[in-house]
Parts: sequence; structure tokens; C-alpha cells
Amino acid sequence: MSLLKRLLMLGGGATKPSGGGKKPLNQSNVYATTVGTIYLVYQGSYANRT
Amino acid sequence: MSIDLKVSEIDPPSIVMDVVNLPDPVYLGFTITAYNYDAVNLYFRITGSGTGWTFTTVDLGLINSGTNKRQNLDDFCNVARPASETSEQIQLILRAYTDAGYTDLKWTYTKTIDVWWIKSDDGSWTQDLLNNFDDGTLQGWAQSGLEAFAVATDYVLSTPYSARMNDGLAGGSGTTTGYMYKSVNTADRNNVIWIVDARIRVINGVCDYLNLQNGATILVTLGGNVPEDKWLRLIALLPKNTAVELRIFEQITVALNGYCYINVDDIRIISKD
Repeated sequence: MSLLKRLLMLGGGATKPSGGGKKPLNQSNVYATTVGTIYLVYQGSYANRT
Repeated sequence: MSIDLKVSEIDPPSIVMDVVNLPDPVYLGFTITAYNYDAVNLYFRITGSGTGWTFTTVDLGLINSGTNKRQNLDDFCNVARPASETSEQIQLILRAYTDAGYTDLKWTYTKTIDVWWIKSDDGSWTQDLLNNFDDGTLQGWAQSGLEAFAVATDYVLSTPYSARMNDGLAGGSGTTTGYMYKSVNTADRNNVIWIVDARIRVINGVCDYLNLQNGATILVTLGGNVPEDKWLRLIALLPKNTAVELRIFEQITVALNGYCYINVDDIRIISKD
């Protein structure tokens, strides 16, 4: 199973910007479209008590 | 390349927050970890959205390829204090840019968070535990790894006492951990909620972590510089009808002779079906 597929199963995947036209392709972007992504883990929260 | 699933395991399904005695509007802080699995270094920015909510935008800075950054987002968002129990959803929006000016957007990741506001005094909840330390005792709480643990009067929510953890490295510097703990049996009801109000001070150092734990299991973890000098309300869900060991766990990193005080007050467990 690819890394991106596993990340999608964890709760959603990162998306490229939808507007602004095509980004020029370079080597890193080609790689990114295959496995590159970002991810966020929410770990805890609190409220200001006073 | 690998995924750190260990961190994901503590990703809670929702935020639970008791509105009783909170200011209006309610300000929330979050601890998050942002991961860069791209092949290149990227600059990260986080914000959020939700109906009626106001979010700040925080630049997390450069995160190198294959690494992550844990950060606490103090006063990250605010919303009018709900008058009664309610549920809603908000979104955390993480964006990654290729440039330090945050103009060339490459990725957007959105995470939906369920927020469950409760009102613990609305009559629907049973109070199973209240430890306010106001009788001058620690009310069954013990400590591990701390330099001192006692009732205190310097910072309290309910007078005259709170409980205070004191940790440090007298004559040294570095990282140290400690916690206060108490064993209880939770009620046989579907919703069991643990509420803790805490206030941190660190002298010559920072608080790396403040966790609510069931034994060694982390329920809520704040970190990446936990805010100091104000009372925070932390809430965790507990399993029902179970023997649990409540732990309020801290880690600090201090310079020479650095130390911390963590006051806690009005610890409660409430439950209902």
C-alpha cells in the first residue's frame, strides 16, 4: 500500500491548490505527486479558565 | 520513509469542554504536530474555520522534509460561550508553502474536529469525584518523581487550597518528569469525563509536556511550550466502569537550578448515560 493511500485512510489527504493554473513541474514536484504530502495530528486542547 | 503511527494513536475523536466558570467568549488553545512527508523542505502555516468561530493564523516556520514540528497554539481560537450542551464541528487547516514569504502554496490539509460543549451544572450529570483540596489535604493523590507535592495557597480557584506539584533539578540542568496520581473506579455510565484546572509556572526553563493520563496511556497532551501563568482547563474522556489511575504528568527542561510549580484545583469526574 502506498504511503499516500495509508495517509488517506488515516483521515484525509493533503490537496494541491485548485486555482492559479498549473504549477511548473520540476523533479521535486514530480516526486511530490507520487508520495509527497503533509499531515496534522491534533493532540490536545484546553480552555482559558480565567 | 515511515509513518509515526504511535503519535496518531493518541489523536482524540473530539474536543470535550465544560463551559461552567469559563469566560465569555471561550478561548481555546491546541497542541498539534505538523508533518512534512514531502521530498522538499516546506514552510507551514495553520489556521481554522467554524461557524461563529474566530481563528488566528500561526506560522509554524520551516519544517524539513521527513520531519515534524510539535507546537502549542495558545489562544488559537475563540467563540461565544454556549449557553447549554451542544455539539459542532470545526476545521483545522494546515498549509505548506515552498517559500518563506508564504506565497507559493503547495499543499493544504484539513482536519475536522468534533467539539462537544457540556454544561456540568445543568442537572444531567452526576458528580462522581470532586477534589478541591480545600480541607487542607491531598485527598488521596500521591506523587512520583516530584521534588515536592503539597497543598498550596499561592494560586487557587476554590479557596483556600489547591494542590501544587514542584519539580526541578536542584544544582543541575536538563529534563525531568513527574506526576501526581490517584486510583479510582469510574461509573458505569456511557459518558465519563475528567476535568482538571491547572496553572503552570516554570523558572529558568519550559514545560515540555502536560498530560492527562490513565496510567501510562496518554489521554490529552499539551506540549511545545505549554502556556504559563494562567489557569487552563483540560478535559479527558475516561472508560466507563473501569479501575483507572488518573495521572497529571509533566515534563520540564530547565537551566541550572530551574524548577516548576504546577497548581491544580477542582479536579472532577462527572458522568451520565
